[in-house]
Amino acid sequence: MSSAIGRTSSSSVSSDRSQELSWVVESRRGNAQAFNRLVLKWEKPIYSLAFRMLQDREEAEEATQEVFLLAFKGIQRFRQDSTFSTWLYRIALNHCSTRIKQRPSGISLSLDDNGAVIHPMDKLAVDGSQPDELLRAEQRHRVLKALSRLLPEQRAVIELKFYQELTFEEIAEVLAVPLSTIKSRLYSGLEMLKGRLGSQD
Amino acid sequence: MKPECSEYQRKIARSLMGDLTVEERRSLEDHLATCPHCRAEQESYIRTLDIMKAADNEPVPRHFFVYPEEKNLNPWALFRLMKPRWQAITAAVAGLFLFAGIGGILSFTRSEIDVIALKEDILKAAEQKNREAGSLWLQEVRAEMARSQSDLTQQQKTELTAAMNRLDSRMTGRLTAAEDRVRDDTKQLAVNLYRTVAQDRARDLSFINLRFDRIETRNAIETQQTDAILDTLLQAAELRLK
Repeated sequence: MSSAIGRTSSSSVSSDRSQELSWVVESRRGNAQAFNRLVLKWEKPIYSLAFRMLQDREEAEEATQEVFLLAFKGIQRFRQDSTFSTWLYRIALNHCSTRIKQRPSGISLSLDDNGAVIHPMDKLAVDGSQPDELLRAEQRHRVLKALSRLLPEQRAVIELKFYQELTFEEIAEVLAVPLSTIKSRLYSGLEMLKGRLGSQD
Repeated sequence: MKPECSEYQRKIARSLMGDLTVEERRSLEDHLATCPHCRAEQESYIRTLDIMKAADNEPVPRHFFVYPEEKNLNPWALFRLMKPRWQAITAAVAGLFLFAGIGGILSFTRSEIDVIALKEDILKAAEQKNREAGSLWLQEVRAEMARSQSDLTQQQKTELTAAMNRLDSRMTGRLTAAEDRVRDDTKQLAVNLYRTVAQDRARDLSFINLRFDRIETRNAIETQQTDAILDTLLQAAELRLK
């Protein structure tokens, strides 16, 4: 097995990049339409990232909104020495960690310890007549709980590597941290997750 | 567990993250083929990663972002931005709402008249009953008076008649006042009812308008998305042709 994570083919990536670059250039000229294209392209990954980092749908919505606002305000400062996504991920992760730090201590999690609470959205999304969906919702809940036990910096690396499928080099660029640190955070985090999720039942 | 296992176990997660050289991977695979303990460790990692995929693809709440230029668009401009199919649907829905609105207002006016007429009837019946009861009582008093009249002096008779007349006029006065009060109350009630229903209707209408605006916004965004997708597809196709 060469890699657990497949990446999209290179030709579509390069056309994607040039398209994105033109939207960035237009956005810098103040073209809101072009910035909207960027939002539409990146809102899903950024929202998913915020949701897994913050563990709360409403807070993730707010955070996503704020991330794009910050990006829109700061697009003049975006030097094109990195890709737009690297820059956006950096804003998103910084913003999420700011939000985590600003939380009053003691109510850091919306998921309770015995896992009894499933978000209303999950209930809505789950059709009781489909056992597969029910199982998936339950698994999702377990994963989120396990992720919430990691250190924020471990969670950030796992988010970027596993869910956002970035390379180690890209992650090092986003987090401005040496490669060796990234890897040690990733593997210590994965080991903890394996302890919680890897057992056979 | 063999002495070299701890060395290999550190490499299992790395192999799954594509973080091993070709040689390292080959030697790990050789070891896994002979070591059930490390194979179990690998399976545990694979299970973990499989389950972690369950938390992927979070359902994204659609369109909660502010798209700056949308604020400047009025409903008509949005309508003109739509594709013909959506324009037709929107127009049909708008017509339906308008029709339902007018129908609602008409039926509401009619029902209000009915309510007032009904109240008037009830009021009249109550008045009639009051009057009857009052006059019956007065008649009884008069009859009683006539029976005992022979025993009274002329002066007493005059005084009694005057007292009776005062009583009569006071009764009538009180009755009229009560009637007026009830009538006023009924009017107030009708006004209040009208006001409440009108407020409800206004709220419903504004809610419908809000919904409508949202539908329009969503349509516009969908159109934009479709455009974006088409653009990307076209570009991809161009690149492939080159």
